[in-house]
Amino acid sequence: MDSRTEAEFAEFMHGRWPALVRLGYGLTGDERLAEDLARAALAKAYASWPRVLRAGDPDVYLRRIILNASLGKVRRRRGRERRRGDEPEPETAQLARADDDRPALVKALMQLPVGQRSVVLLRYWMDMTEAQVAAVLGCSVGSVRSQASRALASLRVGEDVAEEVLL
Amino acid sequence: MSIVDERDLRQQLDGVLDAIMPPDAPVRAAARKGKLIQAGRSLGVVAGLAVVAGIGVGIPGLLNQPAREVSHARPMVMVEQSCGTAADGVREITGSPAPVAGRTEPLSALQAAGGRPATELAAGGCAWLKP
Repeated sequence: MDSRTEAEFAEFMHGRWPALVRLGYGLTGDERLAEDLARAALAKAYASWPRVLRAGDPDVYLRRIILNASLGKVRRRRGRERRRGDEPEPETAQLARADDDRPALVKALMQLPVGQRSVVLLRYWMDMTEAQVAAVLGCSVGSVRSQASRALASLRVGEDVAEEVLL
Repeated sequence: MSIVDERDLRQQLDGVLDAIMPPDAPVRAAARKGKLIQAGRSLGVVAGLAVVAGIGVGIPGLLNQPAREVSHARPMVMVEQSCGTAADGVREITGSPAPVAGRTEPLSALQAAGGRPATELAAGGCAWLKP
């Protein structure tokens, strides 16, 4: 990468960094983990920067890296649990704890399957269209629609449950 | 708290996520790690090419190996029984004795062991070779 491209990369990343970390936080519910995910996404983007630029939409690429990394984390954790012979925890198992001072919405998000969580964040926080969300997640528009609908329903019910757990 | 509708969810998400104030973007560290990833990929490509080249050189060499010379010496077979079924550890020879060419032993040794050369087998007899 020549110095001009490096400068372009740096400028692009400075602009995207906060949104990437926030997306990571929405996916993991953990600020430190969110920064790790965002940092890994930057490194991968750097390694493939010319190809990322040629593909036309670097933002889609970055979001996809973060979402895949988040999905990969869930799969790895399940794999570890299976190897240990433990009963696999549901991916929604970050249940509200009494010492959990995260906002109620984050706790509710963590109870959603990671796919629904991704749809909620892309669709309702990043204001992407259903087609854009489908492109990032590599699924159909119909799937995005149904996941969004299920997520909304769960959030309406789930929050009440989370509040009851805390009481 | 409760979520009323999509608009409400958007507002709540904005409120929660915009409150996160990340530190400065670690662009330099990311670039360093990115270079490591690039180096790893290049190494992988080189290793892959080396494997392909090795296969390209090795396989024709193996295929073009000269055929092993077949001994034309007349094979001799130890005959233990003249008929009957094979005992454990004994293999029956059918047809030409050529397949056992590699097991030839000096005639004197065979004779000393009480055997007879295959060529002396009577018609209808069974030849047996010690494993």
